[in-house]
Amino acid sequence: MSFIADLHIHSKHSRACSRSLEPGSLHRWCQLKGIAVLGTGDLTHPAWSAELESTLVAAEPGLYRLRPELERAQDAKVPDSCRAPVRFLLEGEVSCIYKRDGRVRKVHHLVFTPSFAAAERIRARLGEIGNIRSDGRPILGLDSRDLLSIVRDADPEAYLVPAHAWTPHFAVFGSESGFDSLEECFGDLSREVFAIETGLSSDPPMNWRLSALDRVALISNSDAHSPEKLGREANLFDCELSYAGLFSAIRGRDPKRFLKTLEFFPEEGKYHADGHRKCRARLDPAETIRRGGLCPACGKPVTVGVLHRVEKLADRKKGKRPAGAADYESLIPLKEVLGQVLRVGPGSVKVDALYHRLLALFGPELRILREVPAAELEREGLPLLALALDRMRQGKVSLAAGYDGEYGVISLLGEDDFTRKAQLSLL
Amino acid sequence: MNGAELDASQRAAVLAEEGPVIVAAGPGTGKTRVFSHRVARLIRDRGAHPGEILALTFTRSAAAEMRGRVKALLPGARLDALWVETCHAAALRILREEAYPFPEPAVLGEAERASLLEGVVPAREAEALLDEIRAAKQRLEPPESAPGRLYQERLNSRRLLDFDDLFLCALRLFEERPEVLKRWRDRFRHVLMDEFQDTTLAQYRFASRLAGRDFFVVGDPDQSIYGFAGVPFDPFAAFAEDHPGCRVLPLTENYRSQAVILDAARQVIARNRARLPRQLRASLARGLPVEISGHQSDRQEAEMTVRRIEGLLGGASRFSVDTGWAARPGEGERIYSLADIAILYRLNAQARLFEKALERAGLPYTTFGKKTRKDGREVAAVEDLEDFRDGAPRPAGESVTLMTAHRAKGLEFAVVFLAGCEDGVLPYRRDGHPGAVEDERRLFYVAMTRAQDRLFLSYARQRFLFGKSLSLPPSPFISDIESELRRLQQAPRRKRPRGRQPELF
Ligand SMILES: [Zn+2]
Ligand SMILES: [Zn+2]
Repeated sequence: MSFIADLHIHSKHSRACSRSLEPGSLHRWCQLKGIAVLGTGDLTHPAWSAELESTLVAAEPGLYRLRPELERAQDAKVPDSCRAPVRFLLEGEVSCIYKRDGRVRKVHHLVFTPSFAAAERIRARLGEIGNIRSDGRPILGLDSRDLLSIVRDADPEAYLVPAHAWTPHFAVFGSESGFDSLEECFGDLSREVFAIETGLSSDPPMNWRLSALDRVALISNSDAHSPEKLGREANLFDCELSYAGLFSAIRGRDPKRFLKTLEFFPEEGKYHADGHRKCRARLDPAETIRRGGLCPACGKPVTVGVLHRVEKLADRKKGKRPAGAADYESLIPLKEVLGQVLRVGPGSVKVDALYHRLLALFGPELRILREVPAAELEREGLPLLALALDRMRQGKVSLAAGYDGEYGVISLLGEDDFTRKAQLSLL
Repeated sequence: MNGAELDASQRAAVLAEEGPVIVAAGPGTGKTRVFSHRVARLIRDRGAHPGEILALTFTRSAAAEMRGRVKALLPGARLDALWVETCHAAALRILREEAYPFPEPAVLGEAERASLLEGVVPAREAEALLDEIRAAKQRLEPPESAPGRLYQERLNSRRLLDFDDLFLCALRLFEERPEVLKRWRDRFRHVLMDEFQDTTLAQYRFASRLAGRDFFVVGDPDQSIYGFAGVPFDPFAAFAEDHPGCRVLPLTENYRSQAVILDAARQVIARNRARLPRQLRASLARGLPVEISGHQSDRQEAEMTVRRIEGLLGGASRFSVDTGWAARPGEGERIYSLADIAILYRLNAQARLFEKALERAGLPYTTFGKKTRKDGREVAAVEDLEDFRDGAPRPAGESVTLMTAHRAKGLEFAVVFLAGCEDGVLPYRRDGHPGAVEDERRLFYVAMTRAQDRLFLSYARQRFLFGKSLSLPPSPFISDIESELRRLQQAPRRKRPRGRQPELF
């Protein structure tokens, strides 16, 4: 049976992250979202690690679950329609800032370990190099290659995956402080890198344009800074439920076991197009080139987005799909869809009420987004929602791309849709 | 010798006729290169045997670097007999070879010195007494006071020397046994000495006993920062007196700092009496002005400095980039890495607030040195003498450097923050002591000239230091810099990032 895994989140110990990122609420939110396996986030953080060790117990090999009495307390707050087992996988992120070949490099990497002992070995090494206590995602002056070597030495099953590989400022292929290839970044160890995280602003077809990436798996995760954002990107597996099962499916790039990734529309990501946020200037790559990389409003350099960067490194036209590549689906978070349907903000009380009503009726968010038939929603008196989700599933959306840290806007419904369906109350 | 690698003033120094020579080497003028080329030239072009050369450096790390450079200039040459040593190491080597004053002379570690005073004076007086003993020995006087004599007796009975004894003993050996001195003088036909401005009387006497006609010293009186208050010893004056008719050759081109930084530094040092002619020129582009910022308190100074550092890193976290917390690089600015950046200060006590602020920002840092005395004098290079035995292992990753201005001597950083520029901190003034403003100005000058690209000076209106709250005016050294070269930053108010609360993503 297939299941969903979100392998990159943060805890309350990371900078600018919600206080409610703690084991109990993560367990509950995974059920509301429909996530079966969740990265713990922040495995390098001593206090978080200690909390995990005291609240989790071993489940399948390399996976953990909340202690039974804690599970029961949380499950009581989850609607029956959503209840399902939740597993945790030890994961963290490290921010490497260093100079290589005369240029400043700032690259984030995900680290996975099959055991607390392996995580402890990594913490011990990193703790000698820098400060791992003040931020769940520590900043270290460590070369990416050396981080990979530390991870590898900690455990043969500990892995490093470059995080949100295309974001401009903190990524292995980032336009501001990244590299042009995995080889350039990891040198003699580059073959040990078997996957990259594509990040919110890029989707698999964009990555397929680089033949150099044919040999790596493309994974997608939420990088959530609050529980509500869990699973906004994720991975769908049909493999043995274990640490080794998951990573063997990823490493093997086996489309029968690593089925697909669940994606944002890349235009919704904060760094899809080029632009300058202060001047509200959004540029497509061709325009950026025409303008010499400068903002039309203020003349300062624009932040070069992911699309531009992909085009720069691409050696293929659009459309080619490498053998073994996992499939993908593009989704929009349910609260955003509801905000559009109700014509209110996605954070509003109205949206929240409807969201929880839907969860109670149909099950977890990702099931609603991906599986619940439109007819069922219409039967519940939600024709506009049915229409919106139908369009999302078919990719019939209107897009205003994100740029320079500003999220993009994806519209599912037009003015016409509201006048036509105005007679139907949604409340 | 490939002269093309050297500029005209460097070439003149490297090729100078053998004899007593002072090379006046301003900051960033390539003195290490001149020194190493001079050694290489003696061996390759003047037929000197490597064993005839004694090259004295200030620190062990400088000796290691120098040895590497000479090797690189003389590929394939056998250099085992070449002495590239610190003064202390050279003195110890001689004493060991001569088995003087003990069959196997050994050196007592700095940390163990105090243990010799157990039961002699109360622990809190030990430091002052050890200073007194050191000061006496550096003037080549054995300790006079009763506790000082007891210290020396204990040392001798354990057949140990302290660092300062090395020179006393070597000089005594040379005096007692002239044939020994003659043998060493005959051996070292070429003596070179680096960082000459920080040479103590004892070191100078030791080196000049050994030196014959060819005595080549490199240094900059404006960068002399280890002088003992009250015991002025001017090695340049001593050298000139002992070697009438010696030549003074200046190195004139600064290759380290942007012109604005160098010009600002020259304006500051110009207020000091020149002991050698100053002929320093900038060879780099103009660069960005020196940024000066005043803050309400030392805490704010630390916070704002770290925030500025985040900006220079181009944002260290997604939070700081997405919220605009870290300003984007401005006009003509580029981004830097952790290892490019140093925060310098007068007193080690200033480090703590910067450490805390860096910790809050999650930025890695390394603090060098933990101790400044109450008289503000840096423990004269004792850490360097300590690494005479074994250097502490350095952490593997890059980090922001925190150190005193003293400790930064001989180093360079793309970006330098010089903090605590207040009248009373830099220049440091201790209660009851007017302070030697010229000494402090040299220290300020040394700190400024560590910077390659960017120099930031900051001061705080309120500072908590050594248990007291101080309200001090800005350092007078800041106003020595003409306004065209600097840019004043208004003390920014504490505020959160503008606009809406950053979204938790
Ligand atoms: Zn990240
Ligand atoms: Zn603009």
